[in-house]
Amino acid sequence: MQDFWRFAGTAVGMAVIALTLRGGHRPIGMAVSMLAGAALLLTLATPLREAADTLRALADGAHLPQGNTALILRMLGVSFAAEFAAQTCRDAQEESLALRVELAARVLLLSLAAPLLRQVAQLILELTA
Amino acid sequence: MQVQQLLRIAGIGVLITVIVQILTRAGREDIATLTTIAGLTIVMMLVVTLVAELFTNVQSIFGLY
Repeated sequence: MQDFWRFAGTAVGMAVIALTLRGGHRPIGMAVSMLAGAALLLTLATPLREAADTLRALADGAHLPQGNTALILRMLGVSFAAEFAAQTCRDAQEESLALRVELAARVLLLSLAAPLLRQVAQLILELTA
Repeated sequence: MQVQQLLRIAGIGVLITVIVQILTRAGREDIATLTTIAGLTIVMMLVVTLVAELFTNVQSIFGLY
């Protein structure tokens, strides 16, 4: 709980500093906001790891196939990284770069989900046969 | 939390802005541009290290290898 207040306070403080720097120097203000974003997300690493471990443990408890849980977590990771990269590009007013990052993430997610889609298609074929 | 690193970057940013303002007022635009580039390089080096750390963390948490 204490960490959250520190997190929010640092974010607001860095936003003010980045805004001030952007008036005189756009690139350095941009770098400051990028660094603040990365540092703030890095502080989330421990809770995020706990959440991922809990999800894994729950899936194991429910006797779900091991591969599927790993795949879902992997897709979550790709989405998380892509969202960070795209938002950073958007902050730098590079909308087209952000869209390309998102497109790349979508293609990657589709390729990750391909085995599952194939299994679903096979299941449907078996049921209808 | 890397508050110290954040404050260091903010400090570098403020310092460079002040130096560039002074140089611009003194009519030394060429040196001001060089200062901006140097400052940006220093800041970017720190930013890239931190972003790489973030991505490595995400990779290890979500099992992306």
